[in-house]
Amino acid sequence: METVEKKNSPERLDPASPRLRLAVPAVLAIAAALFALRPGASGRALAAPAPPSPHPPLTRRVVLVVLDAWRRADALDATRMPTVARLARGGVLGPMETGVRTFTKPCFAEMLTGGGSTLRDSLLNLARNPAPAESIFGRARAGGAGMRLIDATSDFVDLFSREIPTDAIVRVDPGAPSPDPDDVFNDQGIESAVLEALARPSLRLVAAHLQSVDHAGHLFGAAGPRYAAAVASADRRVGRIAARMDLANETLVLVGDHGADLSGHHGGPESAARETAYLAAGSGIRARPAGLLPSTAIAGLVTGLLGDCPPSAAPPGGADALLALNDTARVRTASICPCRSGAPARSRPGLAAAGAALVLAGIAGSSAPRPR
Amino acid sequence: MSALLLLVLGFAPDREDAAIGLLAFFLLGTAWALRRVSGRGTLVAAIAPIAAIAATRWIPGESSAVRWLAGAAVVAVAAASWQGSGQAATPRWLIGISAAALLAAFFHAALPPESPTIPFSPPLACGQAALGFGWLLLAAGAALEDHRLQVCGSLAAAAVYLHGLPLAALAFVELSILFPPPNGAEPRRTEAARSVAVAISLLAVFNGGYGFSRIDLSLMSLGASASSAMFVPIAGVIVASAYAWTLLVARRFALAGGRRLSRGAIAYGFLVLAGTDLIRLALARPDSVSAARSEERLVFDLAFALLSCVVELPLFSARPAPNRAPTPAAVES
Repeated sequence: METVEKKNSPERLDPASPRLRLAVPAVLAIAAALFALRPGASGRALAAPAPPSPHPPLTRRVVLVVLDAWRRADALDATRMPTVARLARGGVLGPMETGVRTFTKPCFAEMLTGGGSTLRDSLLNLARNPAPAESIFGRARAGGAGMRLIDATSDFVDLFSREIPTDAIVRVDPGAPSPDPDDVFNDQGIESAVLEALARPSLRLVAAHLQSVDHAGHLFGAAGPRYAAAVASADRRVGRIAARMDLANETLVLVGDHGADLSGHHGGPESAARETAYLAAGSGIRARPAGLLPSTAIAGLVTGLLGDCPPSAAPPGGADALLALNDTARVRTASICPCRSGAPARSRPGLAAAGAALVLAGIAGSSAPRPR
Repeated sequence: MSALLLLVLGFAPDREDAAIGLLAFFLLGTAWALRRVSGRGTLVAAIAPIAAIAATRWIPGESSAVRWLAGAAVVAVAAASWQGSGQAATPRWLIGISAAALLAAFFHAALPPESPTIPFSPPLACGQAALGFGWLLLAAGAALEDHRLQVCGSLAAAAVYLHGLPLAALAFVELSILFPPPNGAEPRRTEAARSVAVAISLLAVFNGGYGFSRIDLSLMSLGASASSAMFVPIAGVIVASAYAWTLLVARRFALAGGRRLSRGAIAYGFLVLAGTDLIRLALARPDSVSAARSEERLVFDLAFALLSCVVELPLFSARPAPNRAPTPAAVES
């Protein structure tokens, strides 16, 4: 009887109760997180079957190399990256700007689908998070192009596994020993796999992800000698890949997924993290200055080189300045390629109301009496 | 007062700058109060290397001199804190562990960084040892209600989490916990505002703070094994521990000097900030820089609210530090 009375006593509902004072903010925080990060906020979906090819391919093969955390300052500095500068003389090298979310996965998704990203993409950067829109890989596969994706991380697989044949993926062990002391994430293994893929004429799209520069930035900062050595090593690696290509009939596209600040950090909308670069050289590239490109233009660049329509989320005409297309091909591309790009929808009144509720709950909780 | 400060922080155009200003204000206030505590030559001894760190902060790059000075400051502060502290009540093995933790932290800060992919990396091993020992000492100090042990543990972890000026600021905060101002040095009504504001200010100034770009991902290397790449879950725990540790410091700072802090106060503070984030998000243009900043602040505020709840669990809620400031009666005698 005494126990029952104790359970029903007013003390259990005391706002100063330690349990209640910890449980309420925890529950409210979890509820707010679920509300803000609810899936489907972007409203995007995989597209319908691919449209017909708008023009003949401009190249026999595209080799797309993503240099993780390629800082613009390094890319445009010929003393730091002499090979890139040399390749740019026969192609085009310019600045590129990513979206406002600069972790690797959101940047990959934006660059290879041409669409936007959401907070959810940033938060699931280290998790499996399939891209909700079609990518260049889906377009290439629909067009019958053989492809190979080479990576030491799971980024390609996590994002695009629905569009990639299983046998097209090559995973390299990042911990395998490399003869290069500045190669901290086994880019040497990536390079070997790319060179092996170049020996197969049936592969029309080869995509590779070099990560040692990003890794060196995170470990040692981007201002020191270890980072500079990693950049120089990546420059030589790109040179060796280009040397094995027939740039009269093939195309090398080198892009950064994002930049980094001098501490090697990225992830948010800071300008240093959004500033990266692109290099396009070889067949189908119009060798003239193209200025600043948004990273979403890369999807249209690759599909344009392969003679496919851009992914439906890509901005129309985003890569026109780089492609050696005549006016007829441009008009045809614009007329038959579907485009439905747009900013993700968001319920603004709902967000504001939820915010006001949290503010009031927080103030009420802060003002509650303290335990005696 | 607390709610008003939080709303000012929440709607400030640059919350980090506002938080840094608040922290500076409170640290200066603490320094002013500390001057009234007699016989604290150790404070001067500790401030000298801290000032040197602050001066060398502007050396280009991550100079090894900065790291050496940071390590020296940590050891100096720890040595000062042990002097005349009545260690007799502390088990000898804990004293040994704290010495090992500080040494490991010292060498981690002093040795140049190396790649985690090499077979054995002394700086990484020292860092891992310092973190392990540091957290062990924090827990042991809380269990034994020994604030010197907690200070040693906190400083050992700090030398891994922080470098340069933030480490100096942390050493100052730890000193103020060891030597709290006399009772009544601060109006009672401002206590809650002080604690919440300091918690947020510490996060803005210390490791990580607000923003994905500011997460110190180099900490992830401490989760690397000798032969392969990072083990993401462990690396994630190590990064998260940096934030939990900052909140613990903030809470200990708020409790120093015998103040009472209601449970959940810091968590409720972060809820207020999360609410302002949502309102700002509703007002911002989608995919704009402003929207992205509000988004990442929202993530951090919600994460900190949850972490605050964990930090305020009974394990880490030892009684406030004893106030050893001389009472008027003692001074007269």
